[in-house]
Formats: sequence, C-alpha cells, structure tokens
Amino acid sequence: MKITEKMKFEFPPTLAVALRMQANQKTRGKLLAGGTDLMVQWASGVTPPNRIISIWGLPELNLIEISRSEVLIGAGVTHARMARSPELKRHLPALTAAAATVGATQIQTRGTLGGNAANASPAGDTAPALLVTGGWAVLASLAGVREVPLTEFWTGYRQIAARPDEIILAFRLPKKNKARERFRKIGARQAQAISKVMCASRMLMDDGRIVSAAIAVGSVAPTPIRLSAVEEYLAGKKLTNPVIAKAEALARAVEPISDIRSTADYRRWATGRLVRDALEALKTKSRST
Amino acid sequence: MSNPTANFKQVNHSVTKVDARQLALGKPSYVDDFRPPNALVVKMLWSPHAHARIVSMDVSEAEKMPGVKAVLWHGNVPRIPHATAGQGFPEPSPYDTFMFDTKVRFVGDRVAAVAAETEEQALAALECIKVEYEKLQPVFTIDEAMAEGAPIIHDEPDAYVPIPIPYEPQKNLVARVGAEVGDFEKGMKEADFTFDDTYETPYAQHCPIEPYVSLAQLDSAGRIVITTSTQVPFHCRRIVAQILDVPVQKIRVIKPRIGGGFGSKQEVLLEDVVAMFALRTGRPCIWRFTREENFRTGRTRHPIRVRIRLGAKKDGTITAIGMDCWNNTGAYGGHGLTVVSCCGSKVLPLYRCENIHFLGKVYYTNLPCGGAYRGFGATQAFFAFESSMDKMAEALGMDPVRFRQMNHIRSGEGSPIFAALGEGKEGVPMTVGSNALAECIVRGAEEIGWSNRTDWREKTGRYRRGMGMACLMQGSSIPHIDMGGASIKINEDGSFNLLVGATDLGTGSDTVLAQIAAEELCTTTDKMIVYSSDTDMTPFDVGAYASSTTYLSGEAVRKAAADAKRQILHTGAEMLGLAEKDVLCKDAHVQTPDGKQKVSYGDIACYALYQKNQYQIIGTASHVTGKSPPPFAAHYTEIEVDTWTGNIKVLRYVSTIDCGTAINPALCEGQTEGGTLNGISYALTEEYLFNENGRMMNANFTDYHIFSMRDAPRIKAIIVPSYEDTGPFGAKSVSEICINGPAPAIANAIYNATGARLYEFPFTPEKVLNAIRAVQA
Repeated sequence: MKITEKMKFEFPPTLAVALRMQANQKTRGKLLAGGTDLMVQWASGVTPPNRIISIWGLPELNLIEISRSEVLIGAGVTHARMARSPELKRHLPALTAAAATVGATQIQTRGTLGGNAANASPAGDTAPALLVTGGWAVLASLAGVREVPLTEFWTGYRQIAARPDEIILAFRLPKKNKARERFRKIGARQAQAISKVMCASRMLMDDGRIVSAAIAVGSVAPTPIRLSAVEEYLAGKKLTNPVIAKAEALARAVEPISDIRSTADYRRWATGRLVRDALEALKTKSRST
Repeated sequence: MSNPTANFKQVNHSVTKVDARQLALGKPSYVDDFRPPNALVVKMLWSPHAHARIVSMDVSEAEKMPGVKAVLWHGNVPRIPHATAGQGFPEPSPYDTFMFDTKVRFVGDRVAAVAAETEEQALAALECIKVEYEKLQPVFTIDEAMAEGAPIIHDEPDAYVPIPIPYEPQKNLVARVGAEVGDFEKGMKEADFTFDDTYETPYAQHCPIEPYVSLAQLDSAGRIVITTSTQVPFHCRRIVAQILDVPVQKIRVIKPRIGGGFGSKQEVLLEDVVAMFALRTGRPCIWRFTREENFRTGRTRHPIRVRIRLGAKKDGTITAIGMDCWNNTGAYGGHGLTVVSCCGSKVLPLYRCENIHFLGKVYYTNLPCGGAYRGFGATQAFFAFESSMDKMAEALGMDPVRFRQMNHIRSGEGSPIFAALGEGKEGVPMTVGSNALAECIVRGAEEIGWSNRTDWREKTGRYRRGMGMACLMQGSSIPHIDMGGASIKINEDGSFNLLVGATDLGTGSDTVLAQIAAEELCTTTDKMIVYSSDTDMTPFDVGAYASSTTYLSGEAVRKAAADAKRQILHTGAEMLGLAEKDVLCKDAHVQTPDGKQKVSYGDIACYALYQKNQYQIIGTASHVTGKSPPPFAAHYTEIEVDTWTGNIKVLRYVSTIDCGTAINPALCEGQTEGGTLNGISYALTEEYLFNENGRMMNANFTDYHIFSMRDAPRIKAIIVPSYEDTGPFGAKSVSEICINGPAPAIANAIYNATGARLYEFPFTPEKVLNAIRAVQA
C-alpha cells in the first residue's frame, strides 16, 4: 500500500478530542485501531479514505477492569495483551484462546479487540467468543455513552450498530463463572489464516444437565452468529449421545457460502462437528478451551 | 575401503557462508539495492483475458502522460520467436514467445509496458493505453486442450521448436516423449496383482522472498549492463541478445546476491523489457514484480496428471511399471518437455523392473505458465508412484518398507531408463555408483519408530495417527549437456580470486565452491575471494538448475584449483631449489614431506609476480559430466488426522539423505529441512484457485498459504554419507530431492491413519474429510 498525499492521518491525544472529531462531519474520519485489517484492505485495492483517525494507544481505551461478575475490556486492548493475561484466561478463556489465534505475533501485538469487532468481518476471530458471553459493547459519543448487546452489535455483512459519531469504548462481558468455555478454529494453517469455520461456546452444566448453552460460530453467515436453535434445544438436556447427535444436526442448518477459503458443504459439516466437539469436551473432566 | 572423508580439512565441514556477514549487516547486496537515483520505473499492462486477440491498440495518450519516457508494445519492438526458459542452446523448448504479441494467452500475459520517472506515473500511463480485444474461447484443462476441434492457443505461423522433437501446436501439443523397455503388457499379464490409478498434482509458486527484479543501464561505451535476479546469467545474456536482435558482445549480465529462486528464476521474464527500455531511453530502468505479478505471471510448478500402472508377483517382484503423464504447461511451453521427461527419468530407475512403459505428453492451456521448480517433474511423479507402491505393498501383504527394500536399485546397477530418457534427446547409459538408500531406509525407520506402526483398521476415535514413507531419487546435473567453468588466481598474500560462472541464489554455492577450491589447494576457505556469475568477468556456467552446482561446477572448481596447485608446486620447488616430485602442498605452503624446508603461498605469489620467471599463477578448467548420479532419500512422517474436521497435523518428519559427501553439512541440512518444509506446504495447503475466466483468485500471501514457522513440524534431517567417485570430493546433489517426499509420505500416512487414499493434493480438510466419509460410508 502506498500512503498518498491525499491521505491525512490524525492522532488525537485523548478520547475527548477523538470524540469531538467524530462528532463533526467535516472532521470525522475512518477510525484506525491498529490497522491490521484496514492496511490489508487498502493494499489489496480498496481505496483508502482521505481522513484517518488513529485511536490506537489511547489510554482511555486500554483498561481492563475486573469486577465481581463482569470484565470490562477497553476496545484498544491488543490481542497480545489479552492472550497473555492470566486473569482474562480464567474468566473469559474462549476470548483469550481466540485472541491467541489472530493472525501472527505482529498482528496480535498491533491489532485490538475493538478494531476486530468494528471491522465486522464474518471471520473476525474474537467475535464468536464475545457473542457467547452475552455481554455488551459500550459505545461513546459526545451525546453520551450507550450499551448495545453484542447479539445486536453485528447488524449485517461488515456492518455494526455504532453510529458514525460513536467510538467503541469497551466491552462489558459477564464472567463465565462455573460455565465451561471452548474455542476452536479451522483454518488452512496455524498462523495468518482466515478461518474456514470457527466456534466458541459457553455452557453451564449442573448435575449432568445443561443449564444454559451459548454457541456462536464465525465464517458461516454474513455476520458472526449465535446458534439459537441449538442452544434452545440443549437447555435442560442431559448430555446423551442422541442429544449430541441432534445438536450436531441442528447446527448444520447454517447457510454458509462457498468461497476461496472453503465450500458451503464443508462449512455446514464442520459447524456440526465443532458443536459436537464442544459438547464432547463437556463430558470429559479435562479443562476447557 | 578407507574413508576418504576422514582427512578433509575444508570440505565436509560447516564453515560460515562467505556472504553471511554482508547479508546480516544489510549491506547493499540485492538488485534493488543498486537502483541508481535516476532509474526509470517499468510497469506492465497485463492481459485481463485468458485468450484474446488484440484487435487494436493506441498508446499515444500514454506516451504523453507526465513522466513517461517510453512505451513498448507489439507495434514498436522486433517480433522474434524465442523461449523464455533458460536452458542449454538450442533449447528443448518451443520458440513460442514474443516480446509483445497481437494475441494474449493467459490472464497476466504481456500487453504493453511503460517506463516513467516514478511508479505512480507509470501506473497512471498504463490506464491510458486503449486496447480492443476480441475474446477467444479459452482452454482451461488438459482434456479441453486435447479435445478434437479445441481452440488453438498458438496459431501464429512463426512459432517453432529449435531441436527435432514433436511439436504440434495445432493440436495444442507442446511435446511428447516416451520410452519402452521390455514388454510392458506381458509384465502386467505375469503379475499376480495389478493397479491402475490416476493422480493429479496442483499448480504452485516458488514464493522466493525476493520477487523477480531486473535493472538495465548503458555503460559509458554504450553496452547494456543488466543486473538481475537470475539463476541463469549466461542464458539470460544469450536470450536477451536474441530477443533484442543485438550481439551478445553488447550485453553484460551481473547476478548480485539473490533472495531465492527454487527454479522460478531459470527464466528470462523481465530482462528483455528493461534492456529495451534502457536502449530506447538511455536511462537506467528497473522493473520489480509485485507479489501478485509473481503469482500470476511468474513461473509455476506444472500441474501434471499421472497414471500409474503397476504389476507385481506374490513374492514382491515388480513385473511391470507403466507411467503416463499429461503435463499442463500453461500458455507457453518452456520446460514442458524436460519436466515431463524427468517424471520418468528421475523416478522410474528407482526400482528394478524389466518391463517399463513411459509416455509423457505436454499441452498448452490458457492458464499460468509452468516452469522449472525444485523437483522438476519428479515431485509430481513421485507422489503418484510412491502412492501406488504403498497400495501394492498392502495387496502383497508386505510392509511398505520391506517391499521397497526388496526392489530398490543397488550400487553397480543400471536402469534402461537412464539411456532412454534425456533432455530432448536420448539419455546417457549409467550405472549407479554411490548409493546409501538401504541405510537411509533403515535409519529413517528407526528414527520414526516404524516398528510401532499399526494397520488403519485397528484405529478408532476422533484423532487417528498414521505413519507413511516414501523413497526418492533425483539427479546431479544433466550429463553431456551442462557445462561449468572456473578459474582461480593467486594474490601476493596467498589469497585467491575464485571466478565461477556458477550462480549462488542464496543456496550457499559460493561457499561450497570456495571450500572445494581450498581443499584442493591445501589452504583455508577464508583465503578465497569468490566472484560469481558476471558474464564479462567469470567463465561460463549453465547456471543454477538441475541439481548441478556442487557436482558439476564443483568439479570444474576442483580441476581449476588442481591446475593452479601444479603451478604453485612448480614455483615453490623452484624457490626451494628442489624437484617438484620432492615437495608437496600443505597448510598453504609448499614444503618437503618432513616440513623442514618450506615456502608460503604468499611468498610464492610474490616471487611469481615480481621476482623471477614471472607469470600469473592461474588455473582454469571446465567440466562436463558423463553421469548424473542420483542422490537418494527415504522420508518418513507421522501425522495425526482429525477425522471430524479432516485437519491434518504433521507431528514428525524424518528426511534421510544420501548426497555423497556433504561438502557443507549445515547447508545440506538446511537444504533438506527447507525442501521438506517446502514440500509439506505444497502437500497440505498450496494451490492456485481460478475463477471461471482463468484468473487466479488468491494471488497474495493472505489467500495462498505457505507454511509459516508456527506450522513447521519437527523435521529431522539425517545425512547418510556415501562417496560418489565422479563428484568433487565424493559429492553429489542435495537441493531438489527433498521436496519430492512429503506429498507421497503424507498421502501414505493418511491412508495408514484412516484407510482413505487421496489421489490429489493439497490435502485440505475438505478433501480429507470427503475421503474419510467415503471410507466410513
């Protein structure tokens, strides 16, 4: 990619300055929170915008706060920081596992949770793990702060619920507590591979029954999605072989596309298999993720 | 036999690469480092169509664009048929290429080029070139190319092949080569078990770190100096002279340090254009491919369909081998014949058999062009052949290792295939000299733990492990065709200038050749100043291909060093007042055997240069080989298949190699590990994905997946020494063979894990899963 003279980069020193820039149509720009997706898009032919506002490194976006029941992760927290945090790993293991599979070391060091979410790729690695927490995206603008449930955050192919004047501040994510989480990604290779299919899950068991199930998949629909039909079916069920088989079959109802990374047929099958994988893992005593 | 390697002081030691320091320090080394500040930048307008005629073209607006100094297109350059393949002369490849043509034959074919002050200006000018195309029906598969009434890709009347080999462009046939030994049909009838299977191998690109890049400028005398990332500087000079219709005398080609080639740069793809621009503008001109251009327009591995027919008796005797190959060479035919010929010549001799049928056919299509790529046909054919060998072993109820041990070629044995298949002509009869394959097989089996291997029918569960193996061979140079030259002269301090035509493209051949010279001269490698591959300065060499440099150019260097050594002995004896027969060379001195009288190389040089009976001590030699001794290898792997997702994890890989004497063991291990990883990546992930218009959709490193360090499994390289009498200090080749193993070894391991046999790769989760589901259904 060539940085042309037309492109103007702004580096607001504080969140307040960034919000003021975004509030006004004249000063508004494309937010850059690491750039590991944007730069690749620009390099491969997408025309870069004239005005770019880097919010990478803003201290207000870099917080990790752990309260009794929730974790608040700033949108500017990098994948590398998440992947290395023992506390996040304890409370949100699917998310840290996902963060550890993003791109490669350099991308994890630069890329951020907010950037990954805002890029809104159906193959965004962290999205399924965010979805299964049942948490919220915290959005800020000069008009104030509001929270959007993550299940309503990705509104369409590469679209999010944030307004043009809003910046993602953080993600408010309930801890898993006694639930078990798992994240699995199928790609062409270990590093720097956009997934063919991936699956995150958070499931709470009690006395051999599933109390609640949250399962989310990526790369099989225009947005990352929760598999509600599977979740509803599993609630209250015992983990028997027929139940697992039925859940797998229900998961295969996804409607993926064929593209250069995989086929629709394979994605449907693999979605079912990843759901089975999550359920089988529950049966074992071994640690999740 | 005493072990000759025991006394080696320079060879068979892992000395540091001679260019390591400059590269580590980031000193200017590569083509683009030498870009003069006033260089014009070249950009090409590429064909967006797979097959089309250019009806009209207008470059006038582009010529007027800011910064544009020249535009080249078919209307203003000579029309001279040639081959871009850098091979011996006359080439065994059709002259089917023109600098610019009125027809385009694949997406990524040349249309017109611009040289401008800046890259942006060149790109802007390209947009102003008006081209009207008449689209023609494209040919995308071998079957379409062979079909009756298929569109003719090369319908131009002036294409021809410069040597007497079959070439029928009206049938899209680039070449045909065959060999019959004994009676194949009879051999199949005598067999207790027969197999007839067809395999497909995919496109791949070499993906060197440094893309294609060339710089041309005129020197003060008006000669064209081309600094280029090439494996074949001398062929490059000859071919550019041909295309531009200027004398060879007018051109100098310099190869600086190269960031990898793997065969892709055995081709003249940029040099004619930069040279023509330099002539037209009088300015230095540089052209560097983008990664996308490297994929689309750069050379690739030929996709080949291989049919294997194999017959064997119950006792394990192989009674018949049939190999039919259909080679898709893409839009131009360079290396088409020789690659398909090597499918046979580098594979079939591996096992004893009296009845052999081989037929290779090469067809044009409107897809990217095949070229030379490490392994050169053997890679494609070994996948098919070693897969069928495993199938046969199972039918015989025999361990696959045992079956191969029974049948593989031994030292002292020949193969009629050696004589039958050459490069565009008959081959050279040959018996195998050095051969440590038997030991390679045993050492590899021990390392992987082959005795723990179990039948796939005993395996259950989601994750299933499997072991697979393959035996391999290659060649070392092309006998009676390839030639390498070297010269070596002494300086006042006992250092030497070693001048070689041989082409170090990152392989370390400058280092290896310096070690050989130092060993012969009884001095140390650090006394060698190596200068390679400058057509004005160094002797000729065919270049870096066909696994030839160490074996062929190395022997030229050894002979040149021996020549210089004779002169040193002569002068040293004169200085000591002794007869030549009473002195010897040792530790950079000429001395008496007891060491009591001695004179240093530096003093000998000063004496010869300044003092008495003056002359330049200089040795020079050329070498042509009479043999192409095969290196041998046995590869073993253990993998784990996730039967739920079809994902394959290579857990361990063992590459044993018999490369004769390892001149530089660290570099041999590097070649072996690198080639193995290269092969694993090709087997598991690499492929060209085309849309319905023949356009590659994954021409970038995001979507074309080569293995990264995070993917690399544990690879154990084991050098099993042998001594090749015809090679320098016992050496033969090492660089290509190792890429042949992973596809068949992994295919055999997948079968051993799951019972699923795959006939085409890459072994993607999609393909593996389908095969597993077919077994389970």
